[in-house]
Amino acid sequence: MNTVLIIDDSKTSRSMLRNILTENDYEVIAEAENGEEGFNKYCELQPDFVTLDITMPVMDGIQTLEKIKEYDSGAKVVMVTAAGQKNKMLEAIKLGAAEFVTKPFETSQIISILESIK
Amino acid sequence: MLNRIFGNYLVDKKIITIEQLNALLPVPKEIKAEVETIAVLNKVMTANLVVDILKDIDKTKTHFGEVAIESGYLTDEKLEQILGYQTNTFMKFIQMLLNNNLLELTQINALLDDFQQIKGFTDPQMSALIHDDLEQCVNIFVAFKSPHLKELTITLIQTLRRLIDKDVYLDKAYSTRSFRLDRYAYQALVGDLHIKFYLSAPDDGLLAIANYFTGDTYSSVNDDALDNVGEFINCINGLFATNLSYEDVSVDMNSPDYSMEGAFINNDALFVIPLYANGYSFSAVFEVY
Repeated sequence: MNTVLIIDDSKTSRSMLRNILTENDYEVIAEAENGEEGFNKYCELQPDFVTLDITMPVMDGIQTLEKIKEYDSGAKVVMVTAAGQKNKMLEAIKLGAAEFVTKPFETSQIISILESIK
Repeated sequence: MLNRIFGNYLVDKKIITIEQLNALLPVPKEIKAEVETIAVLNKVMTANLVVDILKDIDKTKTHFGEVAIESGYLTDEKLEQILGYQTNTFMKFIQMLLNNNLLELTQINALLDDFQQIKGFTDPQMSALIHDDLEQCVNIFVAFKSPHLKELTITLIQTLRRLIDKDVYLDKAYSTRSFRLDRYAYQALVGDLHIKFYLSAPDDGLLAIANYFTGDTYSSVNDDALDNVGEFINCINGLFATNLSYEDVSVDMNSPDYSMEGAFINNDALFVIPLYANGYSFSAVFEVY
């Protein structure tokens, strides 16, 4: 079973993602509510995938992506964005984000994205 | 939008009860408005004439429209137009009132006229409401001069309809210099525009959103419910930002936040939209800074 680390400051978003992923045979091995905690959990647990919210206080998704990619250039990180964050998405692409999912979440979109980058 | 506004009017008039109204809404997809109902609503035929025709036909064997054409009351073109309205949400709602014997065909137009007069809607406004022209409907209630605030309002209503309550409706929006937020969630838009977008309600009013957005259920508004509302605002702002990007207006969003404590906000540019969904009332507040 593929493992996923969810990094998102919103409990609601984490809960929605967790439900979608566990119902579709992914194991959510950890959750983090900010970028720093997320980076530490990535180093500790080495998950197959990371879902990473772009908009977070303290260390945002772009900074966190940069740190994760520095640590592990092969990390498969799916950025979570609200629609409309074009500039941030471009920045994330440059830093090596594997894919994007947009809010509000649609199960089929999330699962097909994860399948495509396995 | 009109279903709930007109439904509330019928409740106020004691023609139906709130329980009956709640049982009818949202109108199911599979319902279709009957030709005779639409003919009366569009004032193509009088209700008395329709009732007379219906007395003489067996509707299981004969279509009302055919008889009306044969008798010269409708033309083929008119019937075609009427058939196009069969899926109109308001006409379907009226049909459900008739099907459930809560209204008589002969009452409809008098009630609609009275409703229009009480609410002060012009004929074009009534038409916009009946035909659910969202932009025009928003114009009835929201007189903001800023096209961006109007666009944000339309995105808000569209998203509420899609994810929260198909029958969401609003009251006249207003501008003010100070506003008392109750429990609220908000998100700031930054970049070419600076707008703080709040959703606020006293007590458990924001359950209107929190209990419908993600499938989670809260018995009262708490931190988690407000976090949920913040994510809902994030979705709206994201869609709004996408629309702005087509006009080369670039905005980004800060992380949503919330408070159980409430706050007073003071600003020369505060815009308040009273909203109603899922039996709750709440306010959207746009603070331009």
